[in-house]
Amino acid sequence: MSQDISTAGIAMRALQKHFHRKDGQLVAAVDGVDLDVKAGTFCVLLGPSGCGKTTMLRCVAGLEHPDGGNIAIDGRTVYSSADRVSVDARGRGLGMVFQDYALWPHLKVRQNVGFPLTTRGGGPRASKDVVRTRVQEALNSVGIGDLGESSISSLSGGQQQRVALARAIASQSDVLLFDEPLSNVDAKVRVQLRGEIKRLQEDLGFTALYVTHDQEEAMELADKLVVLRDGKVEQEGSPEEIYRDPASRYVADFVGSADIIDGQVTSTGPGDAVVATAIGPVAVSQVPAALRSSQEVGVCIRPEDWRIAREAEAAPGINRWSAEVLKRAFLGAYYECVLQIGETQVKARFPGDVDTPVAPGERIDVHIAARRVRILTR
Amino acid sequence: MRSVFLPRLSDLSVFRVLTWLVCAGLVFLTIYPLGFIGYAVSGLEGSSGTVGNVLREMVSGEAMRLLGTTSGLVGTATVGALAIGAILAWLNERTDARVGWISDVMPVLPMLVPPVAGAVGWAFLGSPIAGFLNHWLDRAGSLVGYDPPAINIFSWPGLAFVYTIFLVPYAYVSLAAGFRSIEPSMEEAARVSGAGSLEIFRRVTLPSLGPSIGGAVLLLVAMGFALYSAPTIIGTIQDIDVLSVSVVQAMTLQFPADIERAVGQSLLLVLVVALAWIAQRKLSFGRGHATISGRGRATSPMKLGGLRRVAQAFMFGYVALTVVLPSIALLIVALQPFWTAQIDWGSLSLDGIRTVFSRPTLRDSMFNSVWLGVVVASILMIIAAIVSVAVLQRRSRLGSFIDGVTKVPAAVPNIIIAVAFVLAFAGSPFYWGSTFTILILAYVLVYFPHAAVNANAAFLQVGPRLREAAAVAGASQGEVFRRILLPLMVPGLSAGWAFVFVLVAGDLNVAVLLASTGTPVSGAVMLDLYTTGTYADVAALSVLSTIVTMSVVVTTLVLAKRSSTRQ
Repeated sequence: MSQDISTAGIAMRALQKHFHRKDGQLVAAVDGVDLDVKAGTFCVLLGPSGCGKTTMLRCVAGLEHPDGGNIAIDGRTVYSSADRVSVDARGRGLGMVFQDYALWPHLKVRQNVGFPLTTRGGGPRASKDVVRTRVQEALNSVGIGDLGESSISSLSGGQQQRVALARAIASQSDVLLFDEPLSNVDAKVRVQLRGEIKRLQEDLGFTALYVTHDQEEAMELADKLVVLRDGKVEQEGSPEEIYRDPASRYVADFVGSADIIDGQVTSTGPGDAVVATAIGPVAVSQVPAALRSSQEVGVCIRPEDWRIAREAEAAPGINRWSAEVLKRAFLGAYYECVLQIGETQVKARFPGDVDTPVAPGERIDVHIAARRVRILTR
Repeated sequence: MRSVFLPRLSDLSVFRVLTWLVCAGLVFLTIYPLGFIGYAVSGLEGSSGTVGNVLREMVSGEAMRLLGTTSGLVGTATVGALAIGAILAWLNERTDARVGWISDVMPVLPMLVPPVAGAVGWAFLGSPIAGFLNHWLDRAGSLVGYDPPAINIFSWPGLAFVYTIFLVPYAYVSLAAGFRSIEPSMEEAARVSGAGSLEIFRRVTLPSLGPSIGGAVLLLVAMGFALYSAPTIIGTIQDIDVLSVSVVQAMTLQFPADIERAVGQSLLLVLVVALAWIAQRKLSFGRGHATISGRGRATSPMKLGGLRRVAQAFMFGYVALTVVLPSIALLIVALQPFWTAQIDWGSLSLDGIRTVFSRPTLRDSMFNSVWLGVVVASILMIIAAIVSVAVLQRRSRLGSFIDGVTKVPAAVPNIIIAVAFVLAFAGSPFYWGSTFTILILAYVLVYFPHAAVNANAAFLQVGPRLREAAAVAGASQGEVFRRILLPLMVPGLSAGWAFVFVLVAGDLNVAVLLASTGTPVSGAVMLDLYTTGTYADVAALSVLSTIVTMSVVVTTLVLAKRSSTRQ
C-alpha cells in the first residue's frame, strides 16, 4: 500500500496514534490524518488542547511512535507501518523548538546552539571552525549575537526562546517543528518573536510545521492553516479561506468570533437561499452546492459584518432588523456590543466613533449583507 | 520495530548493551541469593523435615519472645524518631529557627558517625559503673548536695534511646523532603483563609505529608529491625535479645551454623518488614504524592518569637546528644590508656591513635572500609543512574520488572541479605567466602535502593524535553546520557554517593557475616575489639573512622556544590 508521497516538504497519510487513558479507554489522539505541507511553506496546526496537534507534531519529530500510516519528510519515508519503517528522532534531521525552550542549563548559549552540529546523528560531525561560524550566524539571525558566552540561567524568557530558535536554525534542517513556542513568553515579546519567526522562515526558506492554540498567532504565521478536532483535520486552507468560509460550526466558532443561529432552508435559488430562523428570514447569497429545501442548517454571522442601517441603505425588510443594545464595551478602535433581536442575542462590532449610537438600552436598526452570511451544514 | 536507517553499530547499541548487562546483573544478585535461602531450606540434608524445622523455628516461643522485644524497641524508636525528625524538619523548613546552612547539616550529622562508633560512644557515656555521664552528673550533684539516679544505657530504655537517635536522621531526611515538596502556596492559601498556624499544620501540612510519613515509617521499621550494632553492643550486656543479633549468633556462634534457626528467624524478619511494606502501600493508596513545582519560592518562615531560642536550643541539644557527647567520650577513651571515668589529664596521649596505624588489622580495616566505600558508592551511582534511565525513561514492562526486583533489597533486612550471600556465594561454585568480591557484591545489592532513590530523583529533575531536544538534534541514547543527563544529574548523584559512602564505610550489618580476618573492615573490627574489652583501641579506631568519613563527605559535597554553581 506504499502510496507515492515522495514530494518535498512533509507528507502524512492515514496517520494514527492512540493513547490508553487511565480508565483503560483507548483514545485516538491522531485519527487517520492526511496532510501535505509543501516545501518552503509555513503550516500551522490549530486547535484547542486535546485535539491532537502536539501529538501529530511529535509523531513527525519521531518523539512519539504512531500506530499506523505513513510519514515522509522531504521525500524520505521516516515512518511507515506497512513497510515497518521507523526512523528515530535523531535520524530525521529536523530542527525543533519546544514550548518550554528545553535548553540545557549546564551548557553555555553557544554550546546549546552548536549541539546539533556536534552529534553524530546528522552524518559526520562538523569541524570546530564550521560549528563556530554557523553558531554565530544563527545567534546573529535571531538578534542575540553577543550572548554566546552567557549561561542559560542568566537569560530572560524571551532571550531563552531566541536561543532555542537559534539552535533549531543552526541545525540547517530543511524542516523545522514548533511546539507552541510562544505560549510561555509575555504578550509583547510574543508578538515580536512571531514576526521574527515568519521573517526567518521567508529568508531561510525552511518548511515550518507549527502548533498553537492561539488563533491570532496562527492567522499571522500560516501559509496553510489546519484546524484539528478530536485527532481529525476539520478544515485546511489559507487563513482567509478558513475565516471567511468555515466548513463547520466548530471552525466558525474556534477561528474568530461568530454567532450561529439555527434555521431551516425555505427556498433555494441558483446560488442563493433564504433560511427561516428565530430572528426571521435570513437571505444568503453564497450557498453550498448540495443545499436542499427544508434542510436544517446554521446561519453564521461574524460580529464585524453587522452594520447600523441608515434609512437610505438596503432594501427594506431584507436582512434588516430592529435591535436593542444590551451591553456595550469600548475597546478603543471599536465597540463590542451585545444586541437583542427578538428572543436572540448576537455579538456585533461597530466603529468606535463618538457618534455611533450604541448606548445600552438604545434601539437601532441593523443590517447584514447577504454575501457576508455563511450557511453551515455541519 | 528497528529502523532501517540506523547506523550499523552506533553507541546507542553500546549503551543498550551496557544497560542490559547492569540490569541483568542486579536481577541476578537479587534473585539468586534470596532464592538460595529457599533452596537451602528445602535442600538441607535432603530431608523433608527441614522445612518443618525452619517453620518451627520461625514460630517458636524463642522467636516470638525475640520478635516481641525487637518490635517493642523498634516501635518505640520509630515513634520517637518520627516525632524528633518531624520537629527538626518543621523547624528547618517552615520557621525562623534556622541558622543558615548549619541547620540543614545538623539533623543528619549523626549519620556521619559510624553506627558502631555511636553505640560504643554511648556505652562509654551511659555505663552505670564507668560511664562519663554518670560520673559528671555525680560531680555536678555533689556540688548541690543531690545524688542523681545512675543512668544505665544497658537497660531497655537506654537501648530504645540509642535505637531512636540512630533512626532520627532517616526520619528527618524523609520528612524534610516532604515539607520541601509541599507547594508553599497551599499553606499560604490556608493562612489567607483565616487558619492559624496549628490549624494549618493539622489540616493542610500534615495530610499533605502523608506519603512522606508513610515512607519514613517503612524505612525506619526496616532499618530498625535490621539494626545490629546497637543491640549487640548495648543490649547483650543485660540480655535484651533482638532478632538481628540472634540470627547472627545462629550463624557464627556455633559450628556448624544453625542454619535452620538463622533462616527461620530471618524469614520472620522478612515477614515483618513485608507486612510494614504492605501496610504502607495500603495507607498511601490513592493519595497523590505532593509534587515539586520547581519554582523554588520559599514561604516566609513562621515567626517563633521567644520560642525561637528554645527551638534553636532543641536543635543544638540534639546535635550535642547524638554527635558531640559520644564523640567526646570516644576521644577521651582513645587518648587514655584504658577506659575510666576519672580523667587523668596528665596521662592523655596519642599512643592509642598510633596503635591504629601500627597494628595491621586496625590499619587495614580502616583503609578497607574507606576504599570499599569509595568503590561501592562509585559503582552504585553509575549503575543507579543507568537503571534510572532504563526504568523511568522508557516506561516499559521490562522497566517496571527491573524496578520491582531492585526494590526487593529495600524490604529485606540487610542481615538477611548477608545470610543469603553466605549461603549462595561462600561455597561451591563461587568460593567467594572471605573475599572482597562477596563484600562488594553484597554492598552493591544492599545499598542499591538507597542509590536508586537518589539517582531517580536526580533523573526526574531533568525534564523530558531536555532529552527530546537532544534526540531531535541527532544525539544517540548514549550521547544523551553522557552529554545531557549525566552532567545535569551530578548534584543529585554526588549527594547519593556521599550517602552510600557513609553507609558502606560504617557498615556492620553486612560485614559481621561477610568480612573475615583476611578482609577486615572497620565496623566488624570495632565490634571485635569492643567484645574483647580493648576499649582504647576501639575508641581510637572509632575516632579516626569518624574523622575520615566526615572529611570524605564534606569534600564530596563541597565539590558537588561548586560544580553545580558553576553551571
